[in-house]
Amino acid sequence: MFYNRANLKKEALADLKGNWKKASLAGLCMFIPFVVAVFLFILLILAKSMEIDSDDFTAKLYFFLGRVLPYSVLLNCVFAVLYLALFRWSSILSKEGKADFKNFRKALTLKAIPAFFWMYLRSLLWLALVHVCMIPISLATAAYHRFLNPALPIFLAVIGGLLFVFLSFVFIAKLTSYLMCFFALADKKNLKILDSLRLTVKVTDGFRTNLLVTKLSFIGWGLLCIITLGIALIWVLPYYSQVMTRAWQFMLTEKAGEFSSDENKTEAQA
Amino acid sequence: MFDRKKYKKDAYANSKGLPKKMALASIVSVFSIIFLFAALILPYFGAKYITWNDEWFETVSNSDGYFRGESDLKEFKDGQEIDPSDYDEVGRYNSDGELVVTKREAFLDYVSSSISLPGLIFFCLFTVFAFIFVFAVGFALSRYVYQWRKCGETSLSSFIKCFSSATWRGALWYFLGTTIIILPVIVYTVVSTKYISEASYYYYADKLFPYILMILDLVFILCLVFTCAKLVSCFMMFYVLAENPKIGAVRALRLSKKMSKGCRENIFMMNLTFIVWWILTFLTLGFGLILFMPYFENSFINAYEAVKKNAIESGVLKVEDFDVLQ
Repeated sequence: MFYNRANLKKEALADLKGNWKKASLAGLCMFIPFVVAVFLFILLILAKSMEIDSDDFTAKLYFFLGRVLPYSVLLNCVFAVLYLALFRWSSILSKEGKADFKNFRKALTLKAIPAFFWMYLRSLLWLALVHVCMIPISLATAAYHRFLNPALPIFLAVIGGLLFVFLSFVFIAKLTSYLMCFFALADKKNLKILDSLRLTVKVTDGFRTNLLVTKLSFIGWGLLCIITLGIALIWVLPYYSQVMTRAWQFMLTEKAGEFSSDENKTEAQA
Repeated sequence: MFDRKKYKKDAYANSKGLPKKMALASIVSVFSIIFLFAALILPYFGAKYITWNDEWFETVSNSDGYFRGESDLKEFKDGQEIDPSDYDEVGRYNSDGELVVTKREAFLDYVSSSISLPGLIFFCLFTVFAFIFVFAVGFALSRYVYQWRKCGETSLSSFIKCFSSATWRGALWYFLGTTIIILPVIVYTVVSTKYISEASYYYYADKLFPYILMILDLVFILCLVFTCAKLVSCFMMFYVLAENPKIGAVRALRLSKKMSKGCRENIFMMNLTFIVWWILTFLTLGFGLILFMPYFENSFINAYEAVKKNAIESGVLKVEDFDVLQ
């Protein structure tokens, strides 16, 4: 069977059918920090930013490093914990057919924070690789100022552009596979963080485009969330997590034969 | 799963004996691509010879490689003020403030002013025919490779036999199907660029104008994604017809749309992975096709077989849908 996102969405809706109340409770737990975060952002950041001179770049930079960065790091930590809990709730729902709010509360673990940072670091390294395309582009600017003939700068710029497109494809592919590590951790409680990152790369191989398109197909729901000032997130987030959990389980069953030994190893270590 | 790596790996083994025997067939396809380029470029050169403009040659050849506006033709006295409105159709001002029209600009201005209605109709018809011809070659090549895989026929006459009426009809319907899909995007692009070029003149200071531009761009990207999805769904038609030429073009189109419903993004990505091969083909003036075509066709035939199997297994299509008599 091929990956079919319409089928996955049907399965997810079937899972959620009798459990929408519990799902919306979990969604509410995501929604309240979201509202608090937005209000804090407006109060703390924008109010403070009125004080600094808007033309001074270094002041802006220090302001960003001092205020925005710690704030966003804290926010990401909170949301990582909440997301992992929601995904674990979804995986319990898809496996056992029912899940209570207690499952969500119990799944709140601080393990999500190092997992988020490892994932972030790995994807940041691939993002750094994208900047290799700046080598021919900077050479092109140098050649443009050095020589009158525009052939060399044009050639170098074209090479740089092609490199940029290719490396961005690589980066997006890696990002889509690393972002699934939360589902791997939600599926197996005792999985180590680095093992989960290794596992996602193997499992998502061949499904990355499908995953990307599945995520993009939620754009309509995202617009609805923006229009309703985030209230729709209460129902959209559990739905999204259910669909992605179903996708993860589908991929695991498809690749079951290929790395069963690896999984056994990690289980034994745990 | 749609395992494109496996299909491509198998294609290496599948196309093992083929490249030498396929050279003649590939050369025909090379010529078809050159023909397409000629169809796109010829009318521009043709316009130069069809409608001869003496004035253009006079005005350019009377000075030292540069045509300084109409100051070469009109005599101006020293200190006389020159009205810029005389020159705003051609040329630009250089750093010294004098109006300069280069040969290239004069030529481009001449070409753009010399497009006539008969020339335009000729250009359109020629381009349409070139596209249909290239699609027919594509259909014939995939059918040729499919036949080779099933029966082992590799003579040139069997390739020529592939250009049957079914192939031409398939090419025509593929052209119509893809053109209907692309047309809205072309219309949207033309209308939006015209709106932007006119509106930016009047509303460039409007605070909302950048946001309007942003929305126009977003709609364009959405259109592009939608169009790509629809175009990719037509792609499997080549292999439906290759397997069964008598099935009919319209039915093949419908079948390919139905069977590629869940895996359009995978087929699109698989097409993208061949982009380096296509670049190499264009760099070698199309002769890279001799090596590349069997690999390309075989890997897509593998993909087609998997997609067909999946469609039958998941109940989207039945085995009887692929029969000729129904």
